[in-house]
Amino acid sequence: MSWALVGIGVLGAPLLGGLLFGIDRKITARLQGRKGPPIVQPFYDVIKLLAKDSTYTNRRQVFYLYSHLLWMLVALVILLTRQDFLVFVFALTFSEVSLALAGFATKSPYSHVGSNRELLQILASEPVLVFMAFALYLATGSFLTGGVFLIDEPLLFSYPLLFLAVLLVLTILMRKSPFDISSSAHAHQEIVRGISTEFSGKYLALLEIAHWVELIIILIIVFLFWVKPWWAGVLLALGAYFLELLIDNTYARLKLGTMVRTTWAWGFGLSLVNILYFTL
Amino acid sequence: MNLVHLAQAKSPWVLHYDASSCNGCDIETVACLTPLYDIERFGAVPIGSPKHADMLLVTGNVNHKSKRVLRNIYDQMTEPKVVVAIGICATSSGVFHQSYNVLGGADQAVPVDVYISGCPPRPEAIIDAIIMGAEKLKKKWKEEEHPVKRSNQGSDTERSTADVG
Amino acid sequence: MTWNQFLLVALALPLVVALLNYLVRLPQIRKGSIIVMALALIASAVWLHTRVGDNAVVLSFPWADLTILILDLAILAYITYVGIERRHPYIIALAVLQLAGLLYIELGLRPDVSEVPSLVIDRLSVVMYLVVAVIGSIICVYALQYMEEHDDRAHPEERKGRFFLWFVLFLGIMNGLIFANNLFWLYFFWEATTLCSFQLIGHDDTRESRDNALLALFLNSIGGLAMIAAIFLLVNTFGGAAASLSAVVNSGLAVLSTSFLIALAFLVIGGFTKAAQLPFQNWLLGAMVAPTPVSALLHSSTMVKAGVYLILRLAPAYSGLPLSTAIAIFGGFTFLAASLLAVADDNAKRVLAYSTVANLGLIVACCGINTSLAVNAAVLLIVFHAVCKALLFMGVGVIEHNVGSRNIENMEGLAARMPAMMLVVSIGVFGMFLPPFGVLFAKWAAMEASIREPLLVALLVAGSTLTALFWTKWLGRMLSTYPREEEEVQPVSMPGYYVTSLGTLALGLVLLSLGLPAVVNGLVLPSTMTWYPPAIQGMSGLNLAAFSWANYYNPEIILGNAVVPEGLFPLGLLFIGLLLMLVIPMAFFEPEKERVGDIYLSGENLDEGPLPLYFAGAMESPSKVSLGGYYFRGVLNDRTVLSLNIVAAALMVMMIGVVAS
Repeated sequence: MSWALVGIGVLGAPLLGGLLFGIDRKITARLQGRKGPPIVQPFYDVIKLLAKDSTYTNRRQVFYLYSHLLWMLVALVILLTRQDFLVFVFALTFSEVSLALAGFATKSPYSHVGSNRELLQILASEPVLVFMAFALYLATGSFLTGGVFLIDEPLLFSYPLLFLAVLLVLTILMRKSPFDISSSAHAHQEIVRGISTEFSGKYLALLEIAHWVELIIILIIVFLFWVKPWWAGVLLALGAYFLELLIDNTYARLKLGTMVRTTWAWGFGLSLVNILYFTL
Repeated sequence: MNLVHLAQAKSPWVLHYDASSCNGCDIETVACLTPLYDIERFGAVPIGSPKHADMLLVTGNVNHKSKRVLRNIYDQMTEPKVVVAIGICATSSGVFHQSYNVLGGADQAVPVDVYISGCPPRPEAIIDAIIMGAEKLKKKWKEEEHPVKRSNQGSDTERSTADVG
Repeated sequence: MTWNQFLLVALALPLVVALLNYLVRLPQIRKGSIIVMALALIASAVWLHTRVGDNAVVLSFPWADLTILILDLAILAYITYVGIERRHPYIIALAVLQLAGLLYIELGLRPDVSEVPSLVIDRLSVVMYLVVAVIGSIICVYALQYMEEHDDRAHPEERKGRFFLWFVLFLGIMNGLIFANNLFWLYFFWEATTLCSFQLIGHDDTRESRDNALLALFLNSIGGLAMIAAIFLLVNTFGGAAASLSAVVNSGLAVLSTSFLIALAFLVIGGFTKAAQLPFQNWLLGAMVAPTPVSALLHSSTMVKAGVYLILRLAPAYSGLPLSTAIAIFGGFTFLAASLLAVADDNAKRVLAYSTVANLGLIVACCGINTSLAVNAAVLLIVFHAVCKALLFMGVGVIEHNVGSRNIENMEGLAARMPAMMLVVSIGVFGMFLPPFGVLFAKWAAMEASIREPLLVALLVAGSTLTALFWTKWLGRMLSTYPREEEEVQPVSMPGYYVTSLGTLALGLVLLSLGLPAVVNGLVLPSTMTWYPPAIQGMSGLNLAAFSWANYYNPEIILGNAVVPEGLFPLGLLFIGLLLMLVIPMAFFEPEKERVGDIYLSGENLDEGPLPLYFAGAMESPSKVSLGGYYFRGVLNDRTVLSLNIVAAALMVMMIGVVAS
């Protein structure tokens, strides 16, 4: 992979992510017996938001929103250049922390609720990703994402339990029910809009674009479980994506405590058991 | 520019405010979301925060208490924005006209762009109004070339417009 | 400069300045002498750095052995006196036991320590000396201004004289501790830091501060006793020549002799008490009542670092033993438990204290992992943690003087009132847990090194996640401002002393992180080279020696797909990210073209009161928006603390059990 490809990846990820979000909305609509919006709807939304006037409540809010998108892109570059997975998790955390801080920057009850919940989402989702870094090392002898391309057996075969834990956490990362706690997707009513309540116009667009990038990052994480042959990983990622959509449409939102308890009991437990089993 | 116009017409995010409705219009508005009417196929999504919204759907009369709230929500929306008055109460206060506790239609508090009468209006009419409002969105954006709008808070009364869609 | 002259600067100068301040008590003399001392210490640190090579410098002062012994006895007698005066039976018992032990060793065993070098200065000492001299000096400059503002009731000059006596003395003693090789000397400096911290914690002379000072004395006396026990075991079994730190480290006797191993364990437990590991953490939390410069000093460069320094120094001695694994698990548990407790606290200084305990736990865990990568990570953590914590404590001290509270909830909206402090604290907090700063780099190295202990992996994963939670929570409270607050509030101006000390540290943190390869190659690797040669890779195979600017982000390695290294910290990429994070908002954000919106309060906003923070509540009554952070008191309460302490104590008992079996 060359630098040009990395550049294409960085520019292409939001486009692909946006398209997948469009497909998501279409599939969701079909599952509910509706016609649904056109597949390019997310692009309409973002272009409209970019053209809209924006208000901000203070400058730090704007600063941390840009930082959210930027560190999401940094995380993507780290993944695309097949670098250290642990560093990737840290960059992703920086991105999520920035988003929480953008919510905290305004003395608004709604965005504060969202930010506090976002922090708990980080708490719930990060451990499994860090465990995945250790799993990568144990399987390939390297913390670098590039390592998985050098082994013949898919990671999924050695780490089925970890894969389940990752699926559990994907719900949080993709902000889908039952764990869409800090800020829910379209048409799900929330305590107003959680963390994004005070963002408007192009700043909301930044958040949307960051979500698109995040979706691609998530799919790449799933892809890593089966990189040879590459289409198997792509199928796995798309399968996981479709599974999340099904879960999203069949579950109501759960409580905050339930999310933390579930992920720390099951996500943490499954990952640890799998890693212990692998080392023994 | 054309792309922006297309996007604006295709993605009206609506915020629904019940000024003092009997809930008849509210039920019909929510009915637009159901699989039968599926307003999302036009890109319209109900949204919670005025800061995200392009369109304000008002149902019911404006009374002394709801006027300030309606005005505040309208002020928090960013340009371009349109207001749709749904139902006869929001249009002209209907049977409550000149009642002691009612100020009048939504245009007593905020400039209204589209009126739909009916008690309540049918979901088809509401969808029609939303699409009409979306068309006005892009017109507004073109007219104003999205100028800087300073917050004009405070309640200057009687700001009705006769702009009937 | 000769070595004797150096020692005069490092050890005697602080003593002289301390006594001068105690006796003269003139503001001009105080400021002048302390600033001169600070500059002299920094200069001596630079000199030491250039002077010490791979071979340790050995200095012997046999003539001073007796003086040290007499001073030792004096300190113990004083501690006994304090115990009697304050009617604290445990302190009396611990002090008397130490006295008896020391007298028995000296008079009963009569060890011949004439061959033992008094001081040994190697590269590890140089790193520690740089930390103590530079950061300690900066804190001294800060303290000059802070103590001017600190309420000292009657006799302010006298109180200040007393304060700076112990404060400056502390630096000198710490310098002695990091050079000491003779275990009796080490023990003396060890007890002297206990004494200094006792005096400084009790400085305000309120009931609370006196109680907490006593608690610190009590818990650190346990460490003192452990150390005496270790010295006794060593001298009793191997004779006087064993009373040497370098001999203990290099002897390799741990596999052969049980009593040596037990002595080692006692020394490590002594380190645990100083480093405030669970269940000894309470003295450090109690120490928060002291004036902030004391906290900054205790946390960043002295006292707690003495504990981890000893454990780190001893790491080669217990390398490869079950004891090492036990230490790793213990450190990892402290890391997790302290991070958990930090989440539930709303006192900023206590949060910082818990974070210190957690990071010290991580350092201990690194020592326990005992590979090249882990030990280097421990040294890096000592350096960067000292910079970050000094910065944060000093920042919180300034905030406390302006806000009048240490409570995190009261710091809400500080971003508007004290933008400069917000910047400083943000840098400090980001420095503690976000890329590309040094602490995170060290944490990254520590985590990658922990791979050989799956249980430790789990502890570190959980702990590091919690870290992000409590830091962001705190930063979020400070950021939280209402719209247009900046325009309405007059920012608080900063005195020059604060700007100098905080600015130096903040800039230093960024530059040190930027120059991470230089720090790693120039300071950290040489300090552990003797025992952990880079050629012999650690268990995880990772090797910090291979890191240079080119390798931090080498497209040939990454993209070429030919060789996959075992771990790589893309420092260059992360710094580009940080740079863009600062540049992009500036480039795209045009504040004059946009309007500042009000916050959303369901349309019920009112314009009542001085702030636009009122909404129409029930019956149209104006209600104020009030927000608060999550502290999870339902889950994390005193019972949690108790059970965590019990687990920690059990782990420590198990550690001794591992040694004994």
